[in-house]
Amino acid sequence: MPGLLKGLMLSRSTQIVRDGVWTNNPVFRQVLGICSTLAVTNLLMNTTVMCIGLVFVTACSNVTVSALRHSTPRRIRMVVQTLIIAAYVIIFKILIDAYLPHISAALGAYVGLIITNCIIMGRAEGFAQSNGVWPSLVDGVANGLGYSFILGIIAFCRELLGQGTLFGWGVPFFSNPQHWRAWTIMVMPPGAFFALALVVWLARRKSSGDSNEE
Amino acid sequence: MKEKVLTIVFMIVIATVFTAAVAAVHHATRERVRFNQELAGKEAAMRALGMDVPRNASFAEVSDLFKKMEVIEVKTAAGTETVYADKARKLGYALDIGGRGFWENVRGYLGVSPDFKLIRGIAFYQQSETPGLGAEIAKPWFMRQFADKEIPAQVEPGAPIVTFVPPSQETLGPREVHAITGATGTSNAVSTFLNADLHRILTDIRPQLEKARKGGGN
Repeated sequence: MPGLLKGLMLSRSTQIVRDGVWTNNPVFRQVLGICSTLAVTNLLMNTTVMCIGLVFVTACSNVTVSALRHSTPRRIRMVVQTLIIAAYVIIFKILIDAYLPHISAALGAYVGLIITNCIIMGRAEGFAQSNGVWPSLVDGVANGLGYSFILGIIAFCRELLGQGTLFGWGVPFFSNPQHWRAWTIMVMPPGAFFALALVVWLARRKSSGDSNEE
Repeated sequence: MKEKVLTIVFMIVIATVFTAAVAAVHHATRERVRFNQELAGKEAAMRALGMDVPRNASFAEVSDLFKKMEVIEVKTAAGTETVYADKARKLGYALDIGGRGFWENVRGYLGVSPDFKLIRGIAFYQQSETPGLGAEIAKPWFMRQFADKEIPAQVEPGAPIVTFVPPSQETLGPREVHAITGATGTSNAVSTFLNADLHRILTDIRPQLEKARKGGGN
């Protein structure tokens, strides 16, 4: 009954997407990838490129780890995962160096740091090791999107309040020093901690409310 | 035993495959990356001379503008230095500057008038300083400060040529610029390498360029 099989597959994919983006969100539920969240959210442009990089790497590494899961010796599986993740991150960095040099210059060391992002390793070990290629791809993209939307919210607040701009473009009222005195703390790490904490708290409240759990 | 051998073989195969993949992508884009670097440098050199280069200019736009420039190779004690100058010699010379910033290396160009009496401007094309703080050095407001600053005819070794003063100081002297609030580290780092480069330029490069100018119809 191919129709039923397809129906089951679709609903499983939907479940994976919903988990990755909301119910098991990597940032506010699993509390992973916090370092990069704090580091890049000072500017929306940097955040966007970081998120694209993360979605790309998580999806590719999940697919690769899943494809190799039966042949990888158990004992070295984490070393292999790290190698795969590092390879994809370096490829991403080379590509943006070549095709988006202005952005690559702005991001500096942060792109290389994607390798250390716990989300990618977390999904590789926690999902791709024990699931098929297609669900792993969906999971990788979903977690990447979950990470992206939380970072987008934080970056929006930090750049607007801290510099009065969005994507580098001045915003009326906020970019006028006579109306709005920029909150320099938002540009610095302590501001990142505060913004993250508030967003995590609000998101958890909303998500617990949705699923009626305590 | 067999399991151990298999593990090692697997690891070698995986490492080879992925290293090859990365190397292939690197090789395929190598020319483009080097080209982007050179383009960024040329853009900065023209901006340092006060030319109006649009933001995120394309290769075609930069090449077009660069037709007004020429490349001069100057031999110094340290090696050969590439200097850009406008063909008409109205704007002046653009010289390579750079050094250690607060986090990583900073690279840029310094524009000077043909008689070496005034700074035309500076432009940084590579920096990894903190956005909103140290990274302000790449913003127009900071770089514009250097326009029309004086260069002394004589320099004592070790004496600063351009001095960075606190932003609270209202008026700026002919050789002073404002540092950045909250970016003491970056401001100090830039002051250090900029002055070192200025010394080097005035001692090693200026005499040669002036000789070439007088020596005959460049």
